Amino acid sequence: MVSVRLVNVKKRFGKYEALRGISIDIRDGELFFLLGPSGCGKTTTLRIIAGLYAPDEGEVYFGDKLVNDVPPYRRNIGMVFQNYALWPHMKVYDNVAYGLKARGLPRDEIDRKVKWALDLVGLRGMEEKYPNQLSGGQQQRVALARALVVEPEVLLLDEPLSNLDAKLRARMRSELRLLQKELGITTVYVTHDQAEALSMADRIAVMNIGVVEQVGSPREVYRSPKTRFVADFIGEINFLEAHVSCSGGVCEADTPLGRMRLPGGSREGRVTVAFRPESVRIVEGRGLRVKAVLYYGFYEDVYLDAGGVEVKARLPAGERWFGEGDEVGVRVEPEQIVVF
Amino acid sequence: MREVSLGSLALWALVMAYFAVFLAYPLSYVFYRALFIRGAPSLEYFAIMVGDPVLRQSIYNSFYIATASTVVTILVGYALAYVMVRYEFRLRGVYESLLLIPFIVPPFVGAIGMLKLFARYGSINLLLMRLGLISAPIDWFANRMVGIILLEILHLYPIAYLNIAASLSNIDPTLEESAETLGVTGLRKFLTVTLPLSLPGAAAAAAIVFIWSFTDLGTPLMFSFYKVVPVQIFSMSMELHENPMGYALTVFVLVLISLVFIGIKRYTAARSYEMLGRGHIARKRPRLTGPVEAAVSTLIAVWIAVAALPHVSIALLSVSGRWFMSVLPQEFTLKYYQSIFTNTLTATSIRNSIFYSVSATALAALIGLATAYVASRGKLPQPLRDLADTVSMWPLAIPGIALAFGYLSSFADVPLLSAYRDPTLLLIIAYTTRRLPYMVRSIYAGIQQVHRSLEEAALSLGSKPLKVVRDITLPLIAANIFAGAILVFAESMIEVSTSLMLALREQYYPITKTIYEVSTELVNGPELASALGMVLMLVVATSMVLASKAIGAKMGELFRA
Repeated sequence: MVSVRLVNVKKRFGKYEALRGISIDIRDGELFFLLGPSGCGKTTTLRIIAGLYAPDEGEVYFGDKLVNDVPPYRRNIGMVFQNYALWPHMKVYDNVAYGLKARGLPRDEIDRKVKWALDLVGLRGMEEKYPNQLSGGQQQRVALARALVVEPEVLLLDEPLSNLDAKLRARMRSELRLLQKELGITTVYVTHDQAEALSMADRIAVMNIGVVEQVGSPREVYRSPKTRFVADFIGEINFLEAHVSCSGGVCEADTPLGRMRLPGGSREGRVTVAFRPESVRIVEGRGLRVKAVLYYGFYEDVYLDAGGVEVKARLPAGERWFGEGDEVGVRVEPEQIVVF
Repeated sequence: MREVSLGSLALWALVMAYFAVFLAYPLSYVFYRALFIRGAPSLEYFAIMVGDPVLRQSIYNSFYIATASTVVTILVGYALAYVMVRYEFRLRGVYESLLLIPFIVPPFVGAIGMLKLFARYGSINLLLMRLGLISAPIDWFANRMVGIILLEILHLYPIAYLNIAASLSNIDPTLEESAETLGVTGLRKFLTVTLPLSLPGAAAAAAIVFIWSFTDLGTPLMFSFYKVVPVQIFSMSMELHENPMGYALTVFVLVLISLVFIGIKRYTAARSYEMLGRGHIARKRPRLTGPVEAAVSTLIAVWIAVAALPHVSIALLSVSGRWFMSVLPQEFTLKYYQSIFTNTLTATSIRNSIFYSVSATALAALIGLATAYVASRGKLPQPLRDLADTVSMWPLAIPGIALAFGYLSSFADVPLLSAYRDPTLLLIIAYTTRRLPYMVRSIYAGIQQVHRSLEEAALSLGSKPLKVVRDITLPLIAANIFAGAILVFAESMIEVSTSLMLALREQYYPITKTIYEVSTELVNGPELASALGMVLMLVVATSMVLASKAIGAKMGELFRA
């Protein structure tokens, strides 16, 4: 296993600047996520790590080794493509065995490893089937087995779950994470699904139009987003324009919701304050009208109107004591507030 | 990883070199010889061309034949396409494939049979007289151009039908439905919505039909009608050293064709409508009923029967022991089928044709694969890849007579390529070049369907690029290569113009040239030629079935503009 390091990598396609200089350190054995909206450069980054694209500038290291000029077939990687890219003219066995044959392994060793890989993904007995005879979930597992069987130093996953239905996707999240931890392979996982990233990742790089906005653990990027983009892209959040003034180490913001206490050391002047809907506590009071309440089973979203500004609150189902049209007040703990 | 790779560049250079030597050079040579006299630019040959009464008449006749053929072909093709696309009726499914059959056999073979059927005391006249419809025999082909035009129409209407049917089915049904909601129906709706939207397809078909009938060499030759441009070029090709007018006439044809294509391209570009929402709403195909259904179904059946006449007539001729002053042959025999395999000339030509065609198929597969791969997957700048793709389509627009004339003249003194010494290699290359577009298109379509990630997956697992091509790409496009190969083989077997012009000595004749030579022999010539023609039809029909099985699609799509 190795660490993967990108140093100031840039890539353009014609006039389009896909990567504007990104630097990432992926630790040995880590499950690392590249997360961002489409067009942010996450797949380009993955393909540069794979060697399918060459960077225009910057360096890519596997461990201490500079791999810029190493073609994909010499990088010892395993890659799972979004569409799985299973070869339709080969049986499951031959798909999985392909990388081992390319490495010139003896037949009995190939046999042993293919069996091991198919066991790993729970597909023993499917060796003689063709890809088109498998369900989407099974195809996904074959693609995974094919990438894992060569015992790659780096495993690259390009939206591997995006073609599965919601239930199967949820189950595969835990299975994939378990497998990755068991094998300890350095893994780079590309997705645009923030729930997938938050639930599975050791660390996440949040990307936006060719730059990395923040790298951190799921908890860090969720609780302490460094940029407005990260705050907005991950989870849901309320933004309020505010004016901050501090005195004696205590800062307060003037917002459409009234005065709010901020964490100490906040910037003064015009700012944006942000807080998650679940941080909003609804209390008896005045100033906000309950516009709508949407019921989602185990929680409810409450849309509040503060003189033309909308604020969203989320509370566990059953804790609501008010109704649509009522007038209420809100409270947000200072440590739940982020200032931009 | 679209960086430039040396391998791709080398392959690209190889492909371009082929087209430079066997397409650009011969045609440039013809242009040079037509426009330069002793090294100085001159239009003298063209002045002679306009002044010479025979040439002037030939040009006029060719325009006449091409224009008449095009007008009728497009009208028939439009009518057929309209009812076939828009309505459901008895036997529609059967007609769908039957309507395409005439296209697969060159019209010049059918001409032998048609001359017999429409002769003064041929089957048609005898039948009409027996039915009491006429009292004296009609000289049907008194104007031989009528016969030529008839054969062109019967051969070419499937092209018009296919192209127009395609553009009719591309019309978003909601466009016509919105006309209906506004109260516009029937003929008015057709004239204001349907017809304008289908004109680009019809125009493209018209261009193909016009060029095809303008440059067809075989049919007028069979009718012994020599005052047309292709036959003039043919005869001038045999006196290259004394008569430079062939160059000028060939240039004339090439310029004319360029003008037609440019005109059509301008016309269709200005009228290429984006069909929004296509595919969201399926067109309902109303069922015809009662007398209308009977009439439509019968009319199409009659048309198919007429279109089959050339083929049926040579089938009859090939087995007729005695056929004199009677509607149908009086005696039947298989002896002509025997003699084509024993007669030295015919047997040699069968062997030659198979050898030329198999070799051309192999060569076309190699070059086609290289071209399609470079164009779709080559690690090269986009313009270079596009260039390879575009150039490989050019042969579609270059008539056989022009290519053959260029080959004959420009390679006259080149060892191995001189048709005057041994035309074997030249014929193989001519067949290859002519049919290469089919191969390239077929393989290109196959590669496009192979998602790039299938190749990248193999790369990521440790396979080198060449091994990836062998393990992944080639097996996945095998059916496309096979279909392309079958097409090239069949089309080479029935290739007329280059065969007639490049095979100068009997020992090198392919089947088509032998058919032409034999058909003029008085004793049993037409019968022998017909038997040979039947062999060709059989080869072509079998090939088409095989090819469409291989790619599981309608072959017709490959012939669309």
